Amino acid sequence: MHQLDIRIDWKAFVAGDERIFDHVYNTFFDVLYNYGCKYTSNRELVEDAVQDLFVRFWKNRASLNEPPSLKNYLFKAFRNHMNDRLKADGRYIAADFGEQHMFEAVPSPEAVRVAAERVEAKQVKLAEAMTKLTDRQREAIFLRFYEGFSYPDIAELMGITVKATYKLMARSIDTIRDSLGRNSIDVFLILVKMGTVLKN
Amino acid sequence: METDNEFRRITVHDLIANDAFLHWVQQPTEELDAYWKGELAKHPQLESTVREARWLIQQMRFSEDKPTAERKQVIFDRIKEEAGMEKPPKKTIPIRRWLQMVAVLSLVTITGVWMYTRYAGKPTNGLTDSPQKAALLEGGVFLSNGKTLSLADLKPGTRVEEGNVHISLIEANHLVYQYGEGTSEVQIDSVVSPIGALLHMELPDGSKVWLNSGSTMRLMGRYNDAERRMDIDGQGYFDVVSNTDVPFCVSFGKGEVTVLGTQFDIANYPNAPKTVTLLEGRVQVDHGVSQPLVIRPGQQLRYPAEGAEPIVSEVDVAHVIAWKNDVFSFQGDRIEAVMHQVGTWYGVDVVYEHPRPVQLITGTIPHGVTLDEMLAILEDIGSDAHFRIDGGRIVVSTGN
Repeated sequence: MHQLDIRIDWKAFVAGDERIFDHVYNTFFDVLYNYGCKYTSNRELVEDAVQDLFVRFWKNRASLNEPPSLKNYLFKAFRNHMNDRLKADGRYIAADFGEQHMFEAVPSPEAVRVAAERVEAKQVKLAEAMTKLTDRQREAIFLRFYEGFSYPDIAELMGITVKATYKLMARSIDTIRDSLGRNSIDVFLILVKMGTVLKN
Repeated sequence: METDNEFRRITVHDLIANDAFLHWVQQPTEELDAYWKGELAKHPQLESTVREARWLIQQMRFSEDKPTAERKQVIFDRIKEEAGMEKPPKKTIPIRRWLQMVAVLSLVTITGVWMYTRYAGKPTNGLTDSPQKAALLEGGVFLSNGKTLSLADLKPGTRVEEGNVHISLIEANHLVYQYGEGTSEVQIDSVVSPIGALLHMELPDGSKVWLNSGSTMRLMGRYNDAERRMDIDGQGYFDVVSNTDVPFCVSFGKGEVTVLGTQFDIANYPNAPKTVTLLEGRVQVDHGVSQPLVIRPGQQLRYPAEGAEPIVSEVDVAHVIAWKNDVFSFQGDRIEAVMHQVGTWYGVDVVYEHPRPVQLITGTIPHGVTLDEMLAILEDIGSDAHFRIDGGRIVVSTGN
């Protein structure tokens, strides 16, 4: 889970301190790369988008206002670069970007394989449930559960209202719960040892 | 969360939307644990809702796409370069094989510069079969009267007169262009350097031009006291005699360099960033769109991509113009930059297979080695690059 965000000395950064830039790059490269790879299997495109992002970030730093959250800023700018690149790549239709782009986040194949071996039906079902979501639902789930963004952050990032974010998340979660069968949750709780925290 | 009623209405959705709850599930601390256990003790009816929300958060997993450390570094270097930032220190690969070669060729070193006797070396790889490449292979001078002088036909120490144009070949690949007595008005239209060799040319005003392998310089109009204009494809180094009345203008694609007297290098290749590097004096670069830029000695103006805004940065000029001293020079260069020099020199296209080699390469190797030797050296110095020749092209891979 990557909830980390960092604060930087913005004045020194604008003044040209490359060490700050290096720190930002080292902090965010992996998570941005991982996020980008959920859109496309084209690794070069993701690398190019990361490159676009950081080159612009450095070159335009003087004209930027210090963002309240560096992580939110970088994710949003990166998402735009990804979309520009994907558009240029002809992967989706620009006019209705909303439901056209690919968001390929799926449960890790390793987790599914292990679950299948252990006949952990729940995990397999969860993996299946994820495939039933739309790209936008998957992206919202990813941003919430994996990156730990708040709902207002997700709204900002995906360019929708906070209300729409709640709806999007609620629908995604309901789809998953329906696929799992709500009654069987308690049975599975034994396996994941929920009680250890809750019953003390 | 004031009353029991409000708690009763709390759903799985509410818990998942709650940042403190998510944080507790994903990164529990003693404090958070104590808080949520306290809340649950007070409101036991919430337990099943909390369980379900916790389970969903814990089980929601995503595939992780991780770049290799090498890719991360390569992209970092590219960003630094494109953003015009200081180059990070590069890892240097020892060039064992190169040192062996030096011994074999009895080369000597003087203050760090490799001097060597250039040994007869046309590319021996059989890759120069295409008609375009064959035409450029030997180099030559194209005249306005339709005649072509092939360098191979000129003997060192001889002079050719065409109208009022006198062209002397002082030594191999060293031409002098002068105006002399002559009945008809002729001029040089263009000069092409051979593949795998440099061409050194002196112009009528005493300015000197070196053309890198397979480059073309076109003179626009008559080069004289009233006009000094040309354009270049490939790479040229210019040592310009000062004349404040007649600017010396070199076009490269959409850009144009204007100088009075100076030394500079222009690289104008279709498949690599275009650059203008200044050694001495002062040049102004116009590039159509934005304001002309003036660069200082030691600076390089670089177009990271076609149509992109140029970037000015400080560079090691000796490295940039190493080609003029008839050597390949690599300074912590990526494989693409290395193979650009190699492909240019031997007139061979280069293609890549995934994954691309990532190690950075440092070293100086004389132009005199054959392509086969060059590739063997690169493979041998501990680089992760592997080469094979396929369909007249060099295929670069990691060999895996």
